Amino acid sequence: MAWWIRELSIGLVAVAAMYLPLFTWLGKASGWILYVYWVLVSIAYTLYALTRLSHRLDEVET
Amino acid sequence: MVYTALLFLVGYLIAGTVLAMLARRMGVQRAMDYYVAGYRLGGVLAALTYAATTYSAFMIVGLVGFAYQTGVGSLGFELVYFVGTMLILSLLAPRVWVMARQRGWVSPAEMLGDLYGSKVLPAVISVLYLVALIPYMGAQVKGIAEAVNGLFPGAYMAGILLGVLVMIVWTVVAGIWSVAVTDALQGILMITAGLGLLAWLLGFVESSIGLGKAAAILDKKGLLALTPFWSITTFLGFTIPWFFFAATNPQVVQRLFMPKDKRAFSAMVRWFAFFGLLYTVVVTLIGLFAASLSHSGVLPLVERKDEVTPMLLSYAPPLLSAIVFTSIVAAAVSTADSIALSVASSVVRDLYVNLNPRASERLQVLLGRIIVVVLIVAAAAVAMARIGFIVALSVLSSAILLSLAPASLLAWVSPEQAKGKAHAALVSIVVGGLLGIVAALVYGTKALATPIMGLPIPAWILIVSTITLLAIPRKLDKTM
Repeated sequence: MAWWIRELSIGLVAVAAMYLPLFTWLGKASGWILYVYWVLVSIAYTLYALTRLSHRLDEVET
Repeated sequence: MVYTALLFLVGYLIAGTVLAMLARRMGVQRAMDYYVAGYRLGGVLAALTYAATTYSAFMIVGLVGFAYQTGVGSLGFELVYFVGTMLILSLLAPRVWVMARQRGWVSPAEMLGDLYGSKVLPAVISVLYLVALIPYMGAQVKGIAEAVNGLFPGAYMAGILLGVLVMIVWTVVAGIWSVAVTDALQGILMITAGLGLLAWLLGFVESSIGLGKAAAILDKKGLLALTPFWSITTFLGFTIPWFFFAATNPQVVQRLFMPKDKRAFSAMVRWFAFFGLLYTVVVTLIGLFAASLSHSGVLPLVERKDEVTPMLLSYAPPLLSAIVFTSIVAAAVSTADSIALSVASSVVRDLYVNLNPRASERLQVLLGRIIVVVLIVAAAAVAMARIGFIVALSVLSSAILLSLAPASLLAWVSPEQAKGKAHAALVSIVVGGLLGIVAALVYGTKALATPIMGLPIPAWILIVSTITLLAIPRKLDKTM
């Protein structure tokens, strides 16, 4: 259960990071900063989620 | 360009039909084979059908237009969906996949009925699917008709007929097998077309105004920051239904049942992640760079979002236009036929078999084929009514289905908690679903961004459904 809560928390942090530009200067940033920020957060969380997937599959099968 | 596009489209339709026919070799005998491939789908095929089903014509038509008019906020909106989907696919979907094969689920409504121990629940959900997803399918048929109409002015009806015919043939022939193999073809075409269009556009930008000046124009116009369109209410209103898309829309939930083994499941998620992220970035860049050309006077300014891609195609080389045009048709077909099959599986299993438990496997497949035809014809009727524009229609469907999110997530996280909460789940889904339908009737396509007491309607659907589900105690549920 602790593992599950940790993974959910990390996922929610990633989601919060996606909404962050709505409430901070990031939403008004000039150049490609906002574009790159959103893409990088998505890539970072995707890579993390994929590394946890096989562990999760092993866990649910047993 | 017109004849190149026509030739390419015909070639694509022939290739898809041949693939659909070949898919019959997989042997469709039982309902489980017809609707969920007997849980035998390979990883790459599962990934491509998941991606092609998820990413509709909205991407290359609607999202390009959104990025063009409203700027980088459209990327954020689409990537919130993507991150939400990755969270659901990595954390919850593995358990759904294991439980599906243990319990023999075919439709997602059947899954919830089983987890909550209710026969009424799947029947109600089946009706909700019909209400929410026929407009969504209608939007896809409309997308095809508009694409054809753009190529041959006045051929809107012919476009509808073409879409209907292709969807019916590719679905009826071998059920999910023919849908999955044609989806794979469509997925490859969609990403190829997107990359091709972006490459051409970047070359065009560089040779006309230069990439540096294009970025400067986008910056000056405020399109690289959040434009006034993306207020907090609008952003929340658009992203909340899409965030839960992977848990609420039956055509994607059902695909979680299908991978043949652990490796195939893992490959499905991996390849979908690659496809989804790449396609989103490509499509939004197309919209932004198209805007830079319009604002610099190289291309005309476009008023309607859905007309940005057709405008670009009129300037692109004929072969590229033909590929993109066909990919629009492909994206619409792959989404609509997957929905038709998924909703048909729910109508058969959760309405008919629920009432007639002795229905033979052969009858369940036959009924599924008939219902698929009826659903696609109904979608064509919606498309003929020409209501709203593609984006709002698509997202509105997901807002109505949002009422399924709390009940689905609770059952996936803790099946033990779900048992005995059937009444609560039923009330939660009905109340949330009705709220979505009433909002759609009252506010139309503006329902997503309309605030009520400071919050957008999708947020209220989620709040009301969640509170109802949690507030109704378990002890009421002994009679369902």
